[in-house]
Amino acid sequence: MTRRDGARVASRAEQALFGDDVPVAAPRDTAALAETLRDAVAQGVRIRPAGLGAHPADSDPVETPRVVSVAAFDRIVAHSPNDFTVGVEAGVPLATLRAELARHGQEVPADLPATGTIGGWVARGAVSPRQGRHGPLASLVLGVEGVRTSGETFRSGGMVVKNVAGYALHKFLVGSRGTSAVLTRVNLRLRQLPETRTLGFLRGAATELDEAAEKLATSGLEPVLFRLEGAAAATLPDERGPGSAVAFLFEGNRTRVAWQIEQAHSVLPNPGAVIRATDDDAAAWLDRLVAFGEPPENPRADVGVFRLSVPAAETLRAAHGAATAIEAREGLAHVAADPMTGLITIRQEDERRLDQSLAALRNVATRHRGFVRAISVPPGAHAALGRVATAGHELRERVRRVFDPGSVLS
Amino acid sequence: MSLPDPFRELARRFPADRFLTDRTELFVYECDGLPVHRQPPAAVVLCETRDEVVACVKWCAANEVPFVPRGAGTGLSGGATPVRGCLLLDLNRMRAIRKIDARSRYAVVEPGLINVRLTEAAKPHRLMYAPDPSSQTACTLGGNIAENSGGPHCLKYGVTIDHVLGLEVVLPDGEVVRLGGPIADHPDHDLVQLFVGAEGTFGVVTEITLRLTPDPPEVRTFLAIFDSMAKACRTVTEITRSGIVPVALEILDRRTIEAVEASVNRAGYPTNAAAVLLVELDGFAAGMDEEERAIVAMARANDPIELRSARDPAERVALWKGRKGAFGAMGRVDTDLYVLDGVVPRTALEETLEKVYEIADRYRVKVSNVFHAGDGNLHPNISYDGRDADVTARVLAAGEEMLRACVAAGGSISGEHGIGLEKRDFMPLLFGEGDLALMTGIRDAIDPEGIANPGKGFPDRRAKRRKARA
Ligand SMILES: Cc1cc2nc3c(=O)[nH]c(=O)nc-3n(C[C@H](O)[C@H](O)[C@H](O)COP(=O)(O)OP(=O)(O)OC[C@H]3O[C@@H](n4cnc5c(N)ncnc54)[C@H](O)[C@@H]3O)c2cc1C
Repeated sequence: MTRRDGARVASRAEQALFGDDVPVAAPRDTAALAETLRDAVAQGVRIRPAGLGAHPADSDPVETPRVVSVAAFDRIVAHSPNDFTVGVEAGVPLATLRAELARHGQEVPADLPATGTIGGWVARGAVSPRQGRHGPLASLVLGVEGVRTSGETFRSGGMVVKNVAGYALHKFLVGSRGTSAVLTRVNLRLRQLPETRTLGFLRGAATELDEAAEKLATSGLEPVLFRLEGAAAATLPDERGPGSAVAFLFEGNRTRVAWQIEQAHSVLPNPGAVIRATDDDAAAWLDRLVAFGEPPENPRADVGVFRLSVPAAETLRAAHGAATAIEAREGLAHVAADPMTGLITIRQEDERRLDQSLAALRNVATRHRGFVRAISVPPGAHAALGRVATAGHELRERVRRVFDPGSVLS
Repeated sequence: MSLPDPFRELARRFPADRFLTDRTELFVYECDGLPVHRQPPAAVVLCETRDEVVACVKWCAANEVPFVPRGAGTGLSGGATPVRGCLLLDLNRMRAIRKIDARSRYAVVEPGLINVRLTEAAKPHRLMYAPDPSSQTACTLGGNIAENSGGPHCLKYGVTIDHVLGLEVVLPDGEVVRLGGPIADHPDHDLVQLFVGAEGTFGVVTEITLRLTPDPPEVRTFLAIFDSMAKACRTVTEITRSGIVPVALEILDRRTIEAVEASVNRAGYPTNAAAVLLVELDGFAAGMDEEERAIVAMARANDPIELRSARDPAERVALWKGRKGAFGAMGRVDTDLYVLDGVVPRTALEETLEKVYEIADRYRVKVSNVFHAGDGNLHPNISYDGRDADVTARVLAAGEEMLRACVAAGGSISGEHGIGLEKRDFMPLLFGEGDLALMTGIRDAIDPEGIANPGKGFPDRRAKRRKARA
């Protein structure tokens, strides 16, 4: 039910996320979006931009009097297959983009979660299991368009793969969580879908697995590599459920993948790894691993998702430190650690004291010269988390306020 | 030369051989690699430490004196050109490599380190620093950060911004901030991404954490020589479309070939060559034969005059000889060389090049093209005699029109050399007033007094306002 001004009743999913009474504005075009933002400024209300409303929790409180949905910005505007670039409106569902690109044998070389929109994904600065191979999300973003709270539109970057004109606001805004401006369009760099993908994995005792993971990480090969603990290991296709495992995935040209698998065998202990050489197995595993690091489907579930980032050499030590810190508080930690990038996803279930876990994880991060953030916690836990002042916070805030002087976006 | 009083006070803090004020000593700092703009600074400090940079910047803030950071001065857009009355901070002496962590694949360096020195230092660990501007034996990493530089091998590995993990910056008020670090995640908005490519307008970078990349175990290089540019461009489009990502895809046009062949760096190209396409693959040897066969087939389908390939380092050097010697060779065509830096979608290469030649003919200027074809990054190079005012005016007008043609094709006015002084007035070709106001608003938020490399990167509204007031 949409009224003429674009305001409508919140959908069931949005109600679950934002509360039953939250007004949702769903402007149909940039002019209407600008008006909505100007109105909010005039009325002094705070605004939360949302795509499909799939991931708004993302570690921040959801006390928002008004949600502005960009779901109506839903067109793929400029796909140029031969240039390997695409321009997409911010409300395009990730699944739609993925399907459209796959028809041309192309992909955004990052693992897109099943839910959410392209704008939400960029605003969240989501990490990808294949980040070690293809670079972080910011390296794939060629340009953005958006609207500031003043109602003014802006653009940065463009559609070409190399461009140094102007400040790289499009890269700066990756991970801004909708707190600077409402993104309306994102331009992305594409790649050919890999000719083939092969998944290998190994289960066993923790110390052996650590050794195997480290050997692969320093082998000179180019795996997507994870040391998995607890529910993270249940992402593997052997149906053995949770446990301890190392998983590695090679992708690209067939000969090169086959050669890398052979090399991997030679560095791994005997008995060797289980190999699943079908693309479907590998792709499905990546999807499950992404889902493992995403906020839970039910945003009110008692689940915390945290991301720890440390120098790659520290990955396994930090991952153990994190698991121990959480288990010491009687929570159960499920961990997916990438020794190529130092990115560690920690999922904690059935635990009411997520604030204490975060404090413990902050200690682990400090010990390993890293950084931790809450990706998602149940609504009630937000207040207790607090915010840590990170380096450059004041400077970042100074720049953010140029976009949104009244701090209308929350 | 007599110095304004406050400068004398600053001069006392440095040994005389590191605080330059003599006209003859200042001469080399008057411009960077774009000699069209020249201006001597009031003084130059050869900084050796971060604390010295802080002291200078604080002094500039207190005395409302603009400062301009400078690396090797190889920039091609006037980024390091002094502004009137400025203090120029020469950072060449800050060139330590503080750390190489081979397992985590990163290095921590000072900004004055010359680009190629980092790769040399990483080599024993079988690592390299991937971005390799053609000027890499001279340019500094601080300059690379400020310009977000590219290089022939950035097609596969990405440009500077894709390799910067952390920065230490002395902000325009003298405060020191550390941004990012050797980790992959960052807290919300990523200031590192904003500071790379800021052309020194946000302050002085005093330490850089850079990602290192594994040295490729195998490299293969080949040349396809064509009798027309169209054939070379078509081959590039086909390679791009195939999804194979070579590490380099470079093109030299007929006039560049002629200049190379007339120089000491003769590469032995056939006399009827109109375009030389250089393709390099790197990575694991496994699977490379197939890629090589596919690329050779694509080149053959476009009817080359000749194909050459290299399998060992010596042969590779021979194939790169023409490309590497191209700028030097063109420099000998006339007294001055204006290097342009437009970008177009890769599918628009051929038509844009035709426009570039047409524009050059119309303005009666000598243009040659040597460019990063795989990224759509064109470098029309105009050779001219800068002592002739009429020729110079025609060169600049032709350059502007060439950049307009790039924008019309859906591209940009700079792929890697930056905006600087050269292209600041062309920014409205790409951005609306609101976009520019947002960007300059950010600049004002970081540098409220407007003393960090002022007048670079954006149309100089403050100067316009000052002029209007006067
Ligand atoms: C023959 C030749 C070939 C070239 N090839 C390429 C190429 O392939 N790709 C490419 O991208 N460029 C190329 N360039 C351009 C140039 O080399 C690059 O822009 C390079 O990054 C400049 O580095 P520099 O140390 O000379 O910087 P400078 O020219 O000294 O300065 C460039 C800019 O950086 C700023 N700056 C310098 N150091 C700092 C610092 N520590 N903190 C803040 N700001 C700073 C300056 O203020 C200025 O705005 C080439 C130039 C030449 C002459």
